[in-house]
Amino acid sequence: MISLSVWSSFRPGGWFVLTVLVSSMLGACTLAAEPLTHQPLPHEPLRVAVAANFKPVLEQLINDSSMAIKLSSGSTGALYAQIKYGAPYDIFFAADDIRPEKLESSNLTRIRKTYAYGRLVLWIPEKKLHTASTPGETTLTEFSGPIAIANPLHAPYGRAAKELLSHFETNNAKPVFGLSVAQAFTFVRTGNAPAGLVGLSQVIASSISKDRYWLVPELYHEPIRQQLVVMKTAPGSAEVFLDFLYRDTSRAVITEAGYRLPEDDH
Amino acid sequence: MDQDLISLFITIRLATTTTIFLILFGTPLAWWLSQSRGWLRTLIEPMVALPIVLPPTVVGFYLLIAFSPDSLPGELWQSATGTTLAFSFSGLVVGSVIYSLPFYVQPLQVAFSALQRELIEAAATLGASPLDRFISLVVPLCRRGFFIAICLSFAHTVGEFGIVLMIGGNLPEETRVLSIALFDHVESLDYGRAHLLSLGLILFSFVLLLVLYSVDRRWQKVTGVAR
Repeated sequence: MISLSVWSSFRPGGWFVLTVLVSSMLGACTLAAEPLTHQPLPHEPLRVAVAANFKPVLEQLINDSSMAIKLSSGSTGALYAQIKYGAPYDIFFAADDIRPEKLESSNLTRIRKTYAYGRLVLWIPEKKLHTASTPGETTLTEFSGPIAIANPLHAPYGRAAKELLSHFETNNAKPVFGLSVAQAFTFVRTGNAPAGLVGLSQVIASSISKDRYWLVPELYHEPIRQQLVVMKTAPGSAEVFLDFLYRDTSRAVITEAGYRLPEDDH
Repeated sequence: MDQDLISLFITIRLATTTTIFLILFGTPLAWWLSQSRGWLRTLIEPMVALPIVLPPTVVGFYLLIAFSPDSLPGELWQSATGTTLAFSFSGLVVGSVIYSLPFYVQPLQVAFSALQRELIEAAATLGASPLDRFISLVVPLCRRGFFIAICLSFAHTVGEFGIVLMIGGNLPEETRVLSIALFDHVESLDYGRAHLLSLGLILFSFVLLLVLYSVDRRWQKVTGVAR
């Protein structure tokens, strides 16, 4: 029969396993305690980290640019922590402006600018909406039941959603929290939540019909400002990619994906 | 009350409830697995072990789909209770029982298999009922297996993260367990509280394993056999 490793380790040798585990953990702690810096080799591809929600767009842009770029994606908080402790990224596309500001004040970056604004939508899939009409402001004020939003503690879309809900004093809407706006979207998509406050980019990417969501006017929440930083250690090709990113053709790709572009205030 | 303290209570409540359910349902399952020789056992045994090898995200993803009121299990639950399983404590219990099942069943199954059949048969000839044989003979003889199974499934539920993350909805005072609270602290850059919870969990797990090993060693000395 299959014997579990935990099970079979209940023998004298188990102590050895435990000791190895604990000492390797201590080793990892000492490593993590000091932020590391890295020196890029010439001709290496650019290493870009991106917040998961912007990944599909960036993938397309990278493809269009035909530059050599290695892309990693994750949550903004996780990527921030990795960069702070020495992860070798050259550009970081965050989903907010808080983490980029922090990196800048830690003196790790040479450029910080806004690349897009996220837009919030109220999405109610067809069969959950009892009235046949398109969701709108009144749908939200009259809504009761679970409503999926991203975690307001650390997800910018979640913060905006919370501001919106408190603006309308929607006491009957019971927010359930996804780790990220992607998870909030999944909650609605799988039918576990009848409605959600998610990103415009998500409903566009999933080809959801326009009459199933309401584009929330930005006056109801602080702008979802998405910023990027170029790290101090990045090679010069980082700026080349940024130039490409701010071209009209690239900006059209970003708008079509469901983001608002920064005016020249970046 | 402090939010982290509430998360601690939820975690303990979840681990306790899960362990109780495992004792109720996992014990007969482990017994059946240890006694049966049929083809059904060949099929069920690897199924019980699946949560060990599967990423929790697989289990979480399918539970999320199963919990949806659009699917049959979700619909049945909703018509029976009027609530949904996702984003509820009951949903977490369902997920944890599945996730910790092998950690309860396997040590117990090993203990049951090592039992001397003659003892039980002797008790049967002396007129002990099956339940009596189980409670007054099997349970004390397999106490080591029970002890390990209970400790492991409790600890494993405390350490659960992936499934809760996918089906819990991070509701304070309902589904925000310690591992989720810890993740929130890391994500919102509150490293101080993250350290507090992490070190607390390391200490708890270490003490639990320490007790497990020492009790286990003492019982081995007493009985002389690994059972």
